[in-house]
Amino acid sequence: MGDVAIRVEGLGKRYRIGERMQRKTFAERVGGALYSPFRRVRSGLRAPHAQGRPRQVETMMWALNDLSFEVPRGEVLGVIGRNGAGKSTLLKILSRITKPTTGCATVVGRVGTLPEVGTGFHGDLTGRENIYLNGAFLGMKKQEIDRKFDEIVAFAETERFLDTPVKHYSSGMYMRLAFAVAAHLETEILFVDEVLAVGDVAFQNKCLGRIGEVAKSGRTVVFVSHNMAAVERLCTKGLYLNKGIGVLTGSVREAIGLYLGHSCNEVTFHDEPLTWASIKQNGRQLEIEAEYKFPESLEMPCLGFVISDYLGNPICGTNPLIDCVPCPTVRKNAGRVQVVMESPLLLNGTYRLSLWFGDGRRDYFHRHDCITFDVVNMAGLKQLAASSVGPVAPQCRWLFS
Amino acid sequence: MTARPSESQTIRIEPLQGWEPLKLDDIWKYRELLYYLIWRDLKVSYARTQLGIGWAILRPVLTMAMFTFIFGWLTQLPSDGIPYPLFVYSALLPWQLFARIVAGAGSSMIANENLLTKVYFPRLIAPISITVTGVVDFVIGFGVLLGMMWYYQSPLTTAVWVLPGLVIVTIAAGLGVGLWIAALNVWCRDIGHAQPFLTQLWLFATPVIYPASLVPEGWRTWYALNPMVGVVEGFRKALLKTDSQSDFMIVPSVMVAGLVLVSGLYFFRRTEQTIADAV
Repeated sequence: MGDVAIRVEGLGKRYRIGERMQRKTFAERVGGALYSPFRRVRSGLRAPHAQGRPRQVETMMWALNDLSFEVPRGEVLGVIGRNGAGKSTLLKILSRITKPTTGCATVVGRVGTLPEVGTGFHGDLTGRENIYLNGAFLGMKKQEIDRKFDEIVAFAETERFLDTPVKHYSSGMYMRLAFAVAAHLETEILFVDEVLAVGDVAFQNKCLGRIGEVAKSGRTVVFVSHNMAAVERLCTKGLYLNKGIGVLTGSVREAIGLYLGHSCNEVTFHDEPLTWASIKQNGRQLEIEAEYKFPESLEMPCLGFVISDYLGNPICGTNPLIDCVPCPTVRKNAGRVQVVMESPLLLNGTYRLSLWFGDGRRDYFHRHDCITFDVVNMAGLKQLAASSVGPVAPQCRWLFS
Repeated sequence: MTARPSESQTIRIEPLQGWEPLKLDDIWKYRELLYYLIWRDLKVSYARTQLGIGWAILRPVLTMAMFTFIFGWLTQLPSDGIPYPLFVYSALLPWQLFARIVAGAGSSMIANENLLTKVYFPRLIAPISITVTGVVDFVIGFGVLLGMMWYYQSPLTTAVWVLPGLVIVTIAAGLGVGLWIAALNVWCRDIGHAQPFLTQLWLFATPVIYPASLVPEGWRTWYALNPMVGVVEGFRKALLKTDSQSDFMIVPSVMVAGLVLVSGLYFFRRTEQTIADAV
């Protein structure tokens, strides 16, 4: 297979929507299970081309559709996409937790999965015991854990509590220990899913650093994350997933560009004066667009916006009145407003947009945090962490004398 | 740099093919995890109790005391001329092993739900580890039985050698039923609720509190289709030299147990592929 670590061909995964809600009765289940081999044969006889194309289209959803790509050995693939794009489904299939509906995948080498931290931990067992148990779940051999034991404990900084049941641990200690075990997996291929979603900033940075080390050690890593900054820093290749359809791009930068361009950072409103709005990053600018429809024509379509950080703290905002923008020459009752924001430059991260709309005297529309969007590389490559310096990049002139 | 991976480590991921081969060698590859799971189950179930492993003795002994009081003393059920406590205890041992495996294996998928959706391992490992912990309890309980036989001056015979075989039949039947329940339970939780009731019914359909000789002659063939009938009667015959017809009864027992186990394995194997989507 040459030097390909992971090869995915025409992979698809179909879920039935609402399966949980309308459970079939027991009899239907058993009947269905027993009958299905015959149904396969029958449908094959009746219409060979219709195979894999379900009749009840409306209850089916393809979480992944005809996905094909290859990951050469030693590459770090960043998988990005919005919620529900199929990222986690892909990882679940590759790590054999669930089966694909169509297509196949080949994975060459020992596989380790870094799932949600603490998977397989048991509260009644001590830290020491959990290290072994958790290691076994992750696919480590006993000698491997023996060898790495001190390193794991040192990384987790929990030496003193090794023989305490983990249910007495603080959540921070628990997480550190769990990540420490997972971080010392020495497999040729590593799947990482959103580990960075937990813990405080210092812990996240520690995790990121460790994944970076793993990536540099020549192992193949598939890294699924919402954290664009992390993806950009760690990955050598990018796979952008959109509604289950994948676009493999050479560089991770391109994939992120696709994500930002394609990502439908837009929202539609019903029965409101503002009918549609979107925000997207275009290089070093943020572009906000909105469409409005009003019963009477407006002298000034007054669109106001506020950008907040992910936690909801406002960063900046304005409207045409505050900006002293002259009124448009033609009065209209429907149209489009475009705002190009050139400064401030935002640091990498996730932000929220709130919108207002009115005629300059009154607001007829207000929607808080109606769009969540990501910013990547707006302020250039070298960045400090937004958590330590705030979300905006200052534009400075420096003088030395 | 890590060494070049061997071709044996190549994993091929393909869609569900319907009835799949069992791939029992996968269990062997994951034997360390199996070992840790067994160790976890044993540790967790006894570590937090005051009596610890003593529960493995108390559980059958208390049940025996209760049955002896109600059925041996109050109801005066016949016991083939054997002291009733010994009579009922020798049957309770294999029965409780069976019931434990059915309950444990039956709930193993639901109990390990958060694991199943996050990491891969051959799903069969979970019910197997429960089975092994059940066998450990059985061995401890067997020590008590030896003590009782010494007390009632009932010497061991050479027929003891059939006991391991009977234990295997018990495990096969228990695991088979447990796997069916585990797989069905994922789709329909009602099964999980019905299971204790089913087990209780099964207890009365097995000659634990009464001798099989109480069952009318004409029903015996059907009666022997219950795999635990042959096992329990076999246990008594091997240990206590009862003149039961267990030789005749063990044949259908072995056949039914084998059938249940194989069908359970295949059905479980089929369902395990979709478990992560369903739980």
